[in-house]
Amino acid sequence: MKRKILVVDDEDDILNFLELVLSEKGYEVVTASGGQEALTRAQLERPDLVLLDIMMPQMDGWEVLKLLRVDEETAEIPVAMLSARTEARDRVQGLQEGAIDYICKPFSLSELLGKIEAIFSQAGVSAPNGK
Amino acid sequence: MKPQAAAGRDYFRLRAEWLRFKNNVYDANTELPTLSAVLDDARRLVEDRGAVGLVYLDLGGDPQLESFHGWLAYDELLRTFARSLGGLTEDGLLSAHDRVAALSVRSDKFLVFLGGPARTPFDAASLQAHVLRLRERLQERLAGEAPVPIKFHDGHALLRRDPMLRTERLIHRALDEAMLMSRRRRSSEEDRRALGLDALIESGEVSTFYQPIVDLTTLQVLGHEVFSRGPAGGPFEDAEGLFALAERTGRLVDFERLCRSRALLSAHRHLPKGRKLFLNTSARALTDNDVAGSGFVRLVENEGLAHDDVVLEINERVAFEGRTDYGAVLRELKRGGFRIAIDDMGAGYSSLHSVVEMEPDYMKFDVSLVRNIDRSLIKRSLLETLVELAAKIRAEVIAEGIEAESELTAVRDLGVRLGQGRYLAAPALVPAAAAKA
Repeated sequence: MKRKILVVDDEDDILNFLELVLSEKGYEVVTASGGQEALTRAQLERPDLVLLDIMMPQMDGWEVLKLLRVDEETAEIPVAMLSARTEARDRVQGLQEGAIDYICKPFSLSELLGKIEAIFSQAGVSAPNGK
Repeated sequence: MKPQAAAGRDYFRLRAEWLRFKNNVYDANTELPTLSAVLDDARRLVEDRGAVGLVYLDLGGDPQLESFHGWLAYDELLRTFARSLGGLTEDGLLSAHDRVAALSVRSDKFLVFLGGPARTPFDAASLQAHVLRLRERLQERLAGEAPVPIKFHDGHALLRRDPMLRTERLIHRALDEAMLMSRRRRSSEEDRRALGLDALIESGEVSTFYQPIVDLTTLQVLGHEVFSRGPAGGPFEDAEGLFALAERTGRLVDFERLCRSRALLSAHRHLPKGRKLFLNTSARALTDNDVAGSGFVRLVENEGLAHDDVVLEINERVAFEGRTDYGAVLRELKRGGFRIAIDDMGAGYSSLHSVVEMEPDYMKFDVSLVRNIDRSLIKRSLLETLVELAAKIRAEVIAEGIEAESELTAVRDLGVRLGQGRYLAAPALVPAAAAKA
């Protein structure tokens, strides 16, 4: 079964790039260009992983993460935060909020794919799409 | 030639296609169309009216509701909600062109597209006023219909026709906006509740309850499962909700540590020698020193309890996640003489393989499996399989949530030796004064 990844970023270039490489790797890719849209997509599509940009206008990644956790149907979807910032503080905050991983921009493609693989193999025994 | 036969074939083909289609666009439980099924109507409504209100109603306010009452009861609850929503037509709050939909098949989220009054299209203020009336009336109707209080959150958005944008795009934007409003409300309510939980942890106002686990043949008490609850009559009385809130807001380990020490402090005064104490342990707390580590062992010994009288109940989902660090903690506990029970089996997370790997001493069957088991062939054969498996790995089986004699008879006939539930004995409060001393 194809794994579904929701990619959330306000930059179209990044969104297009990730959509291209991830679908080439055999993942089903859904995109959202902002926090609001991301929540609806997550609710309707039930992805197996969310790649979530932190720095976005209107609504940042932290709020998206928090609001994802509010509903049980989206609460357990693994989230990997994407960020240009590298401070350790961010990392700690992300882990406390329940993000499963943290990927710093600029990332190399192999690093990103490796992390995604690792997240899926860790969550591998748990039910895809929740129940 | 033979036009009738051809027409007949067409009919059956079309009918099969229609049924397939219907299963995707209609929620069979509530008999409501889904968003994709009302999209055309909604588009027409926007084009006719110029402005349309979208209301998003989210019933997911109580995440433990389903696991608590079982999915059958939850389906009934969703039907009641959908019925009450439809009833708003009689109150003049919905009109013939308005559309009610489920967000998707088997969803607990609903949508209403409101065309608004015929002559004056909605603006932000009139929509908000209408939504307010709608919400109040819906709450009244629910209070009249449902045996348990039904909570929901709502959000709304105004869609205005825009020649520059496709209407479908407008609808999706409005959905984003309405859903966000509803989620933000849920989130801030949760923040408030989390502050209350902080105060509860600070004050330590939790009470401990024991529910007997009974030998179904001799009716002798083997031990007790321990429950913790907040102050009676308050918002934290419901234990399931309390733990769920603690988990969602990152306070689970702190809260569990408090419950754990309370449970152990009172234990030796209330437990005759040899009675087992079943302690619920979450995955996250399993790696906490006071809940399952050396601090816990010290507490047990200080209270004069024998290791093998203490049973840690691990949720089936932990076994399912198969995290190696949990496995190591469990093996260590077992080596120390403690007993392990797998909780909530049959609730839908089963990976029998990982359950077996944990070498549990007890397997506890979930309420949802036991409820009305006397009337369900599927549940009986599922339980039968689990009982067989338990025998093979030499685990004892316990049926949870027995509420009727028929259920008791059914599980006993299937070879379940131990049981627990209101029919046998309700959870009883462990006196607080004694618990403190």
